[in-house]
Amino acid sequence: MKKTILLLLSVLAVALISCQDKFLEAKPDKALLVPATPDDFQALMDDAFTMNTMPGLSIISDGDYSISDAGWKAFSVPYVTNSYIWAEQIYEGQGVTDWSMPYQQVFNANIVLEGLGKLDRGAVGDQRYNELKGSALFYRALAFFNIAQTFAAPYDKSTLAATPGIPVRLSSDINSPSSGGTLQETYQQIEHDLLAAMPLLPDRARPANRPSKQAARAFFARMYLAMEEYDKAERYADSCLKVQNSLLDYNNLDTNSTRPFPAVFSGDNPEVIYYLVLRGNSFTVSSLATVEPLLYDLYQAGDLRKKLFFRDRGSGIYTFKGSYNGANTIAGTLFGGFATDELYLIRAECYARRGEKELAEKDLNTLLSMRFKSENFAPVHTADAGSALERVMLERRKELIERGLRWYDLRRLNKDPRFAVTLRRVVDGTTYTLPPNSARYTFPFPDDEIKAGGF
Amino acid sequence: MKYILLSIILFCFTILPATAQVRLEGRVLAATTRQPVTGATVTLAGTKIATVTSRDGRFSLEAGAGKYVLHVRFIGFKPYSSEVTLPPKTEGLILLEEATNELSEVTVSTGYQELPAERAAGSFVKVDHNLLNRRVSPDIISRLEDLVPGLTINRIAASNPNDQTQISIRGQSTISGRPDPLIVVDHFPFDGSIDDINPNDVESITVLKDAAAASVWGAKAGNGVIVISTQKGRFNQKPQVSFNSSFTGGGRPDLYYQPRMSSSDFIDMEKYLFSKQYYKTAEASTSHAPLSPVVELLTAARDGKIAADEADRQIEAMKEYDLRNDLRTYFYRNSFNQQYQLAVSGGGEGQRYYISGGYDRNLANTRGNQFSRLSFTASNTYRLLSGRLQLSPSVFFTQTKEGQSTALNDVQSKPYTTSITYPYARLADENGNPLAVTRDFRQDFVGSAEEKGLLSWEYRPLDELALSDDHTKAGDYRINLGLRYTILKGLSADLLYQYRHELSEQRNLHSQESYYTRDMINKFTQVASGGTLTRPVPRGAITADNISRQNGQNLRLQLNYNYTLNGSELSGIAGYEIKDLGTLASYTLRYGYDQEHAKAAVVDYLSPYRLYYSTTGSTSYIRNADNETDLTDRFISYYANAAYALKKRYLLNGSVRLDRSNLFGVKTNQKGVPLWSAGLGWNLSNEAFYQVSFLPYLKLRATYGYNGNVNRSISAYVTARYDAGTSTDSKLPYATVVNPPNPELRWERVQVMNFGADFASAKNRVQGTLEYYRKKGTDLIGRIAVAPSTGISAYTGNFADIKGSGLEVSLHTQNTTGRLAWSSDFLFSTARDKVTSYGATSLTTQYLQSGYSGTAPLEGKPLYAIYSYAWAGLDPATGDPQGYLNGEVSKNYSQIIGTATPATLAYNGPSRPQVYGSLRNTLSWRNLSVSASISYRFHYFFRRESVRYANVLAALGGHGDYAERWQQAGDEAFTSVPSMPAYGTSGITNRDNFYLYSAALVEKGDHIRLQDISINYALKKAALPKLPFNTVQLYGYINNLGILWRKNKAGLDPDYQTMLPVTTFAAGLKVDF
Repeated sequence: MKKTILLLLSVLAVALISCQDKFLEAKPDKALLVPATPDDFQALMDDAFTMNTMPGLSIISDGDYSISDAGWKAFSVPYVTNSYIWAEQIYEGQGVTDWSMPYQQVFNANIVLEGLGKLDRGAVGDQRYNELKGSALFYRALAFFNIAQTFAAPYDKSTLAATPGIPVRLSSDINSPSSGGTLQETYQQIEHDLLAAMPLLPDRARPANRPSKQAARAFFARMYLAMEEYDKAERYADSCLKVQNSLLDYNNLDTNSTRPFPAVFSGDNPEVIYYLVLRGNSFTVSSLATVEPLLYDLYQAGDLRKKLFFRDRGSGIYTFKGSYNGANTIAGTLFGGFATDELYLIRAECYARRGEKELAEKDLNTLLSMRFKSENFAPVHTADAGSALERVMLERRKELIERGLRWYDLRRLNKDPRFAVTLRRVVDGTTYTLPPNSARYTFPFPDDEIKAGGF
Repeated sequence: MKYILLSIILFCFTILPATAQVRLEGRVLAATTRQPVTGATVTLAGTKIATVTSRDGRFSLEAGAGKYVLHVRFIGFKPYSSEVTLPPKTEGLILLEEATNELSEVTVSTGYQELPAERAAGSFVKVDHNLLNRRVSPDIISRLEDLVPGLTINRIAASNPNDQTQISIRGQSTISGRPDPLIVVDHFPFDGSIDDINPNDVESITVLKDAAAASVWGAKAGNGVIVISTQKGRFNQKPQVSFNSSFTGGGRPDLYYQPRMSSSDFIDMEKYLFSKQYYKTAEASTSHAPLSPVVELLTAARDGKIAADEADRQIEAMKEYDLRNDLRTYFYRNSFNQQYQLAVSGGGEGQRYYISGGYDRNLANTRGNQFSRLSFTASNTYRLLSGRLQLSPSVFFTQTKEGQSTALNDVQSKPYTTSITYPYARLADENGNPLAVTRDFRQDFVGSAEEKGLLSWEYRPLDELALSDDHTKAGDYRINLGLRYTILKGLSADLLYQYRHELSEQRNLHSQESYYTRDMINKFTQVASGGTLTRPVPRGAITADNISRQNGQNLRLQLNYNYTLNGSELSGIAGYEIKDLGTLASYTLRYGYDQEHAKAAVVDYLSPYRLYYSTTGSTSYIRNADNETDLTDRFISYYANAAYALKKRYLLNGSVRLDRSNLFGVKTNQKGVPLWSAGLGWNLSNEAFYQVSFLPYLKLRATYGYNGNVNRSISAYVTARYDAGTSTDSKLPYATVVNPPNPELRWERVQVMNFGADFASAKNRVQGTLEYYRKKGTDLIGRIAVAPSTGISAYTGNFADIKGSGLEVSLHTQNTTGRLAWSSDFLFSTARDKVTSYGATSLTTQYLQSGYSGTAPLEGKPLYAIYSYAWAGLDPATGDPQGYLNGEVSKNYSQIIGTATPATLAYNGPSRPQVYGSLRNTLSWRNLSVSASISYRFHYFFRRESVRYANVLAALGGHGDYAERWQQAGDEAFTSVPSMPAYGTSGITNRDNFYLYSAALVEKGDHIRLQDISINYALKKAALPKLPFNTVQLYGYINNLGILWRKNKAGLDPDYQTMLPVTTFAAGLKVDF
C-alpha cells in the first residue's frame, strides 16, 4: 500500500513538473496579442479612430467661424475658450488630444516598423511587406507634418535651422527621451519618410483610411505648398491628378439634406483620396458657431455650396454641413483628408505663381463647373497671372472651408503683403486681434508635454 | 465535552489496588470569576477512576489510600494537575484557569499547516469563533474590523478600483497592484466572491502579517494573508445540532447629511442664468436638449406663451420642493436582514463530520436591492488503515441571488444636462401618483411623441422601479479532497485537490414599458418620405445577459516531517502546488425580446440610422455589445518551510518559495520569483534563570524575509487588444495598444522585518503582544505620466520603492474577577509609509487630486497624501479667494496653479489614518455579557467638499456651502466660502480649483467613534435542567452608533462625507440541542 501510494505520488509529481512550461504558455486573456504578424500590424494601423485623426484646434482660431458671447462663455474646456481669443497660454494644465493622438500614430507606426524588421521578408511576401512598411512610414510622416502645422512655427527657409521643431520619435521605446530638434530636422524627417514610403505603397487603396501612392502624392503637394516649394507642389499635384481627376458634381446632391455628401467609406465620393478627421472639440460641434457673414457672402448666387455647405439656423446663424466624411459617420466630424478638389486648387495656384494664367483658369473652371448650378456657371477669366493667383486664393478659401487648411494658408500667406490679414474678434466687449506672423500662429506645446518631456 | 472525558477514560487504564476505598471530595471553580465549573472531568492519573463535576462544581471520588496525580480538564480551561494524597486532609478547592487567549494553546493555520503559536516566530493573529460571532453581519470579512492589530478597513470607498475588500494589513505594499490581502479558505486561495462564505461556518481566522508568517504564500502574500478555517466535526463526539438565527434592521439614511444647494437657490440661479442668455445654446440645440421646468416656464413667459405672473407663481411653488424628500419616501426604506443556519456535527472513532445549511435574506435600504444566499457545507474526515490514511472529502455549495436596481442612481445622476436632476424635481403628486421628470429632451418634444406615432417618451422615475429587472444568480460549488498518508512515524504525505465551479448569470431586462427601452425604440424610429414610421429597434424588451463561468482546480502535493528528540522538535513541510483558473464570460444584448416566449428579434447592427431627435440628421448604429472574454490564470509553486524548537526555548523558522505564472509576453524562465524568510524566537520564560514573578510568560521573536505581489496586467512586450470593429465607420477589425513594451519588467517584492514580544502577567490578568515592523517594497509597479509625444499618456513599470513601519500593541486585561467580570481589549496600531523612490513626476494638479487614489505618489511622502494651495483668506473687498504667488498674496489663480510645483504646495499629511485601534470592554455577570467597542483613527487628513461655481453657473447646482458664501464686506470674518463670480467672468475654473484645493478645506480626520455594542445572554441546561436544549443564547447587536469625538469643526464624519452609515439593530438566537 505504502509503496503504491508513494509510487503514485512520484509519478504524478514527475508528470506535472515535466509539462509545466507548456502549462504556463497559456494566454492570460485570449483577446491579447503581442503584435508580431502582418495581420497584427495591419490591425494596429486600421485603428482609424487613432490613425486617421489630425489636430482640429486651428478651427477655433482660423477666424472663419465665430460664436456669440453667450456661446463662448458656455465653453468649459480652457483650450477652447482661450484659443478662440488667441491667448498665449491656452491649456491651463490640461492635456490635449490634438497633440497626443498624432503621437499615438507615431508610436503605432514605430511598433510596426520595428516589428517588420524582425520578420522574414520572404515569408511575408514582398508586396505585403512593402505595403505595411510604406503605410507605417506614411502614417509617421503625416503625423509629424500635422503636428508641425499646429505646434511648430510656420515653415520659413531663412530661419529653418534656428527654429525649434517638434519631438521626432523614431523608436517605440518610451524610455528614450523626447527632444525636439530644429524645424529643419522635422521637415527632413517627414520628407525622408514620405519618399521612402512612396515606392512601397499600393497605387490606390480601399478603404480610404489606408495610405496609397495617390495619398502620398497628395500629401507631398500639400506639404510643399506649406513649404512654399511651388514647383514641387505642382509636380505632385499634377501626378496625382493624372491618376485621379474625378470631381463630384454638386448638381446631383440634395441641397436640403442635412448631410448632403456621400459617406466617406462608401466610395461614392470620387474626390476622396485619403480619410482624415479633424479632432473635434466643443467649438467644432457647437450649433451656435456660425460662418463669418463676410465669408458667407463671398459665395455667389448660383453657387451650390451656399446650400450644400451651410445650414440656415435662423437668427443669422449658418452652421457647417459640408464635411466630406458624409452622411454615415457617427458624429458630425470634419474632413481634413486629401481630395481631388484640393489638388486642383494647389495646381492652379502653382500655375498662377509661375505665370501660367490660362492653365490656372482651366483648373479653376474644371472645379467650379462642378460647384455651380449648370445654368449659372460662368467660366473664370482674369486679367493677368497676379489676379489669377488672387482668384485661386479666394476659391481655395471657399472650397476648402472647415478642412483645417485655412490655418495652414494664413501661416503661409501672411508673409506675403498681398494676402496678409489681421484677424479680429470682439468678445464680451473686448477686442482681440491676431496680426500677421504673430507668434500665436504657433500653438504652444501642451503643459503635460512640457512637464514630462522636460522642455 | 463528554467525549473528551470518554477518551480520557479510554486512555487511562491501570490496575486498581485492592485496598480500602477512601473518598476524595472537592470543588472546581473558575479562577477569574469564581463561578462553579460544571461538567469538568476529574481523573486520577494511572487509574480508571474518574468523575464529572456537578452543577455547583463539586465532585467526589473513591480510591484506595496512596499518592495520586489528580487531573481536572474542561474545555476552555487550562488542564489542571496536582499531587494528592488519600485520604485527604481537607476538601480540595481547585481553581481552573481560563484558557481563552491562552497563547500556548493557540494553533494558527497558514493554509499549509497547523502550527502551535508557541513555536512560531512570525506574526500571526488568530480570531476565534466567539469573537467573530460578536458581530452580526451577513459577511465574514467585516467582522475582522477592530479585532486584529494592523488591520484596517478603508472606509473612503472606491479610492482604488483594484481594491476589492477595502482591507489593508499594515498599510499598503503596492502602488498599482491589487492592494487586497490574499484570502485563503482552509487550504486554497479563494477565487469566488467573499460574500459566498456563510460566517456561521467559520471556525476561526488567522491573519498572517509578516514575512515569516506569510511568505509561504510567496508572490501573493505582499499585502498579508487572511486564512479562514471552516468548522469541522470532532472525533468521538455525539451528534450536536445547533440552530442560529438573527434579524438586523436599520432605518433610512440621512439624505440631508451632505448639504446641497437648496431648490430656492437653484431656481434663483436658473433665473439669473436665463437673464444672461445662458440657455440659448440648449434652445438652439439640434437634439432637443432638455430645459428644466423653471427654464421652460421662463422661456414660455419670454415668448408670451404664458403670463409672466403665472410663470412666477408656478416657479415660486417649485421652490418648496426638495427631491430628497421624495427619494427618501419612495426610493429608500428600512433595511432588514435575516439569517438562519442549522448545523450538525459529530464523529466516531474513525470519522468526523460537519454538515450545515444556511439561508440569508437581506433587503437593502434602497428599494429594488436585495440579496439572498443559500449555503450548504458538508465536510468529513475518515481515518483508514488504522489511522495511517486520513481521507477528508468536503463539499461547499452556495447559491446567491442579488437584485439590483439602477432606478435610484438614474434619477440622481442621469437626467437633465446629462449630470444631475434639478433639485426641485417631484417624483409623485400629493396622492402618490408617479410624475414625469425632464430627462433627455425638451418638454414639447416629449409631449408630442405619442401623437407622432412614437412610444411615450416620458420618464417617470417611480414607475421605473418595477419596469426593469436586473438580477444576478450565482451558484458556486467547491469540492475538496484531502488525503494524508503517514509513511513513517513523523513523516506524512498530503495530497490536496480542489475543484471549483461558479456560474454567475446576470440578466438585466428592461421591459418595453421602461424608459430605457422606449427611449431606444424611439431614438431609432425612422420616418420614411411618406411619413410612415419603421422601427429598426423593434418593440419588446431589451435584455442584457452577462454570463460568467469560472472553473478552478488546485492540486497540492506536500510532505510533512516531524521529529522530536530530547524535548527539541523539528518540523518541516515541502511541497508543490499547481493552479489553473479559467474564466469564460459572455455578454449578449437582445432587442425586441418577448419574455413570454423567450424570443428575440433580429436587428441590423451594420446600417447607420438617423436619430429621430436629431434635427441635423445625426446617425447612429444600434449598439452591438455581444462580447466574450476568456481568461486563464495559472500558477506553479514550489515551497518549503521548516521550524526547529530547541528545548522549547529557542525557535528557528525558515521558508522558501518559488512562484511561476503564465504572465503574458514573458519568457517562461523569467516568470518566476523566488522569495524566502527566516525567523528567530526565544521563549525567555522557559529559561531556568527567568524568575520574573509578575511576568511569568515572555517570548521574544524576530523575523526577516520577502513577500511578493503579482501584477498580471502588464507585460514586458508591447501588447495589443483586438476589436472586431463593428462599431466603426470603416468596419475593419483593428487592434489598439494596451501596454507599451517594457523589457525591464520585474515582479514586485516586499521586504519585511518584524520584532515581537508576547507576554502574560500572573494569572493572565494582563496579556499582550507588542510588535514593531519595517517593510520595504522594491521594484513596485507604478503608473506614471510620460510625455504624450511618446505616444502613451501613462506608462506602467517598476518605478517605485516604498517604505513602511509601524508599531502594534494588543492588550487583554482582566480588570475584575468575581461575579462581575470586567475585561478590556485594547488595540493600538501605527502604520507609517513613505514613497522612497518614484521614477517620474506627475502634473502638480494630479498630486492635489489623487489624495485618496494614490495615483500620484511623491517621493518622501505617504502614498495617500493630501496637498493643498496655501490659503490667504478671502479678499475683504470682493470675497475672492486669495493664495500666494512668489510669497505675495495673490488672486492670479492661473499663475498660482500654473507655477505650483510639488515643492511649493502645502503638504497637509496622509489621507489614511496612521494611528488607529480600538478599545473593547466586556462586562459579564452570571450569564449575561455586554461589550462595547470604541474605535479611533488619528493622524490623517481629509478634504472637505465645497461649492464649485463653474458648476453653479452651468446650472448644475452644487454644494450647500453656496448658502454660506461671502456676500458682503465683513463676511470674511466668519466664512471661507468665496463670493460667487458673475456669469461670464473668465477664469472661474481656475478660481474654483484654487479654492477647492486650498488649505481652507483641509481638515484633520482624527476621531473616536462608538462602533458597536453587543449583548449576549446564555441559558445552560446545566443551570436550568428544565431547559429542553443544552444552551440557548440570546444576543443583540447595535452597529454604527456614531462619532464620540472629532477634531474637525465642520461636524463631518471624516470617513463618510456623502452619506453616513445607518445605525442597525440586530437580535438573534442560537440554540444548541
